[in-house]
Amino acid sequence: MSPLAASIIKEFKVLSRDKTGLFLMFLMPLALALLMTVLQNSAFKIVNENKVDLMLVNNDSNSLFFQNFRRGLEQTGMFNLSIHAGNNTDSKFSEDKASIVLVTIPKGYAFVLNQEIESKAEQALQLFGMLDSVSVSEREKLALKNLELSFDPVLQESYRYSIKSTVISVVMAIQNEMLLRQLFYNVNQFQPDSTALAKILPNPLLLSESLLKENSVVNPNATQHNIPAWTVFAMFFTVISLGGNIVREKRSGSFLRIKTLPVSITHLLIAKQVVFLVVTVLQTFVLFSIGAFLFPILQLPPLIISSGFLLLFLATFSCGLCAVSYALCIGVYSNTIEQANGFGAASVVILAAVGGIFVPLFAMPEVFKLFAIISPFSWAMKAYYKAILEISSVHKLLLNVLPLLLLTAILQLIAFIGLKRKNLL
Amino acid sequence: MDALTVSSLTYFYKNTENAVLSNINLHVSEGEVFGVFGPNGAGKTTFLSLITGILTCQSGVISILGKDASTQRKSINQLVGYVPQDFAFYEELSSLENLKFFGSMYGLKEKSLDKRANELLDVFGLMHVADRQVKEFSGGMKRRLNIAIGLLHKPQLLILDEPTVGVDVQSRLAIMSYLKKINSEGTTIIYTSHLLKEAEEFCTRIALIDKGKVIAIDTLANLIKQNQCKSLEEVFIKLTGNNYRD
Repeated sequence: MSPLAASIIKEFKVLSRDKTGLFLMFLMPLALALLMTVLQNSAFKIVNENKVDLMLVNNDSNSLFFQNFRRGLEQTGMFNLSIHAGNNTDSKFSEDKASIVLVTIPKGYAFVLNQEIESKAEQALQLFGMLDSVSVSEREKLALKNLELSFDPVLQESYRYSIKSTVISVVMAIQNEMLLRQLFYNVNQFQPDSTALAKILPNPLLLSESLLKENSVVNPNATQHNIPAWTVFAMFFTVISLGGNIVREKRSGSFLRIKTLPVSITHLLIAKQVVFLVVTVLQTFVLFSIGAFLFPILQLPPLIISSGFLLLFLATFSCGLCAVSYALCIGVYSNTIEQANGFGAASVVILAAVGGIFVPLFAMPEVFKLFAIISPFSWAMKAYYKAILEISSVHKLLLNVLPLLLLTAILQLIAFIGLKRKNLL
Repeated sequence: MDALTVSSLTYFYKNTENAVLSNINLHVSEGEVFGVFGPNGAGKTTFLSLITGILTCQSGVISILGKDASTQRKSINQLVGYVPQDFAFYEELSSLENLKFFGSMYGLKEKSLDKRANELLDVFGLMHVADRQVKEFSGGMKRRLNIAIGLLHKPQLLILDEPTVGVDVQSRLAIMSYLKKINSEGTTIIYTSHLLKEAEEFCTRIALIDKGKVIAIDTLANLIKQNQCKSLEEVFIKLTGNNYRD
């Protein structure tokens, strides 16, 4: 058997008997991926899928405006309405554990709104030259009351703004219809046919909706983020096993003994890296399989790989190489297992945090986004996003993994220098 | 042909002014058991490290079995067996797996490697634990395995760094008996130990090193005679002194 083959077999045997290492490399990231996806999926659902629970309190006697307003809110598709009438709205809102938005139609709102519409209609006809004087404006006008909008304090500002805009658009649609109806009445002195009126009302402005990136085919969700994220984390966490392995061999004298054999120690180092590269591919296989097959059973979004397995493999290979090279470096420069484990684990956690593993990059503060530029984890995530969120090509992916490959070369060089300086080569 | 020739060997560690080894000249003939002794810090380990290629020679010439160590290291390593003082093997593997791995590193073919591994397991009393992970072994068993690995390829020159340290009497006797046997079959042995009684029985020639220099080199009988002592230990104390060494 060739020295390289013997070294690879030896490394596989050593690794297969390292129960703690296997746990850290496979079960821990798997548990983290599952846990984080479940947690983040709930948050994603609140924002993306769940309707907002809105309590609508009608203190007005005019049922027509209330009915139109209620229908308008329902048609937005954004709210789960709970309807109440009467006073003590605050206490009702407090008692209602589900509702996070309260809209109150104040007493006399519809009457004053009607008066306002009549006034506007007359002003408009006067402006068009169809009316000499404005009758309503001469009457004593009541001040227009406001719809009252209250939010649960936990709601984010952007989310409040979105709800507020939706409510305003519903009210404006009602006002537009009322104004048109009033104009028709003022001109013709009879109410318009509702069907005919509906035909001339402007259609709501339609927006064509698409994902921001040209080739994106899958919406980012908790699964699409967490599976690659924790795969990358798991790959780099091999530093505990590989780094410790190298330190152990240095300290036991195995490295030095191999220096006295008629083979180069490079065989041993290549074998270690080959074995751990296979480990990173296996980690990807396990985590991605869990995402694709187990997550849907657990009511989580399934993992979708848009660009196919070739690109996924290329991304995995590049990330794996970089992770293994990092572990090699840590192993070469650490003098004790405690150093390798401590520094290795801490550095991986920090790089993961700034690299958008725990929280997606887009949700991170601007300062951290700057740090992310220097984290290989963010480069790895970009490569994976390319492979699983978009229909991409090998060429485009290679551009994404180039920094990882460059870093790999640098880390290998640093490890080589370390081995030379420590008289191990 | 000499098994080992060392000429003008000097070695400095980085950032130190004093030489660890200074102008060492010696030779070891084929078939000898050559003992290298000295107090702690005398330079023994550095000397062995230079011979085995762990350290690179800075100044002087080392020739092993007629080959220049600076240019023919790979072919020298094929002929030399080194048994370090540390347990230099893989505790997660069994003794048989360790032997097979190191045998492959020596380029032994599978069939002959199997035969040789089983032979050594038998000789060193490890056959019954051949498939057990080494981490479960006692110190003596580990020491025997450490030696067995160095003997896999039947080296012409065997370098042993304290091969019997920390083992019980039974293991020590078994180890020494086998070493004497292979020496009688032609293997040259270079040996270091702090067990001078053991060395008296084993070595054909002895070199005493202190402060990086060879302070005496001869047969045991001549060293005792020249220094008017009764044992190697007395010679050792006479030439190196009673003081503690770092």
